[in-house]
Amino acid sequence: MFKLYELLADYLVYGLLGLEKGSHPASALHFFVYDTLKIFTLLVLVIFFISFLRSYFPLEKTRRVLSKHRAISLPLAGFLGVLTPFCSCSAVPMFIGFVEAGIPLGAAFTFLVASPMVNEIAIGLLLSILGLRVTLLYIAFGMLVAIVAGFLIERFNPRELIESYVFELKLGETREKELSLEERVDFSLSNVREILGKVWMYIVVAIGIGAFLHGYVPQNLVESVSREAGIFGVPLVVLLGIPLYSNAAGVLPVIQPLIEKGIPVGTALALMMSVTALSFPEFVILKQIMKVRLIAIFAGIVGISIIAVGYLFNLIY
Amino acid sequence: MRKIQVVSASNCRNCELLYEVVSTIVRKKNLDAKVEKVLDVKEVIKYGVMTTPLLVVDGELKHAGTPIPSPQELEELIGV
Repeated sequence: MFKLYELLADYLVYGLLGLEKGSHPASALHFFVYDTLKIFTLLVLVIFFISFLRSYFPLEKTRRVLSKHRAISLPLAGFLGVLTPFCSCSAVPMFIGFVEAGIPLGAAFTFLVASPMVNEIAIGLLLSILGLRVTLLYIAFGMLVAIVAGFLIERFNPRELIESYVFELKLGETREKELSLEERVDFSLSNVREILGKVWMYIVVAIGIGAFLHGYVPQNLVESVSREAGIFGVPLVVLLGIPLYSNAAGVLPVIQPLIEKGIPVGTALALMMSVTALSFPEFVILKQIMKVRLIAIFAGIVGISIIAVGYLFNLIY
Repeated sequence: MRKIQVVSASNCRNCELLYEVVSTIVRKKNLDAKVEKVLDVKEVIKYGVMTTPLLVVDGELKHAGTPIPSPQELEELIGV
């Protein structure tokens, strides 16, 4: 499918610019041209497809389904979290809406982990850079982390650490709008525009840095850094991911050449999960409705689960 | 004078954007309207929605959530 892009990059770098094949600048520039074309093509397709699929799972519907099936709400929240569109700025009203509908708190937390983790940009980049197999494993392990985290948080008696007004507010009847096919397509297209409009520059810069690393950084350097970091690599990147906001999922193009040169895939995925599921701005938003202690418990449990998944991944791969 | 509100639970990028676009429309079209940002989760809940930001015109909910409508759609929602 991307043979054409390969040829185009060949023509531009070796033909038009006359750079020598195998040299540092040629290798970096070729990587940049090819990757930019490929990544943006796939991002448009993936964001459109995910948005279209997600238009069938509005938050109101997910809330209704979860409140009906409380006995299996944990796994269901993990599964539906993946399918429901979500923006961390809606985290507080979502939480209140879930609590009011009688959805167990653990399931609300599961949703809060699963939904941002499987976002359009993260999936688009994973798919274009690491392939379908790794992407599917990322989604599956993401759900697992979310379900385990929800289960564990319930053991900490979270109700006492949540502001009392959360349990008093009444959302009332919510409306579920039925969309026509045309409206779904419109919705998906404007999602593509909105998301790419926000992040395209970060991604181009990230591909640029990635291209530089690809062309100039020697493999043995990456390998030795990776060896030095050793078993601390995974927890290190999880910590690194917390201050980065979800848009920073755009960092993946930087990581790609590093994986080729020896950073383990599990470490890269742990970083990705940490960036999307644990974000400092979201903690600040959650502080409106919960005590800092609960946010710390939440972050701790999710962080440790991600670290475990990172190790597991490195074992399998 | 009409009252246009952008309501959200916290000041995220999307409500910032909605507020800016709506303010621009009001200024450009010279509307007799006051645009304000309301950051209060209780206000969000009052309208029976969980997705932010909300566009409320004279107390009536016109839009909730992302993606934010295009400037043309917003003009229609405001009733320019």
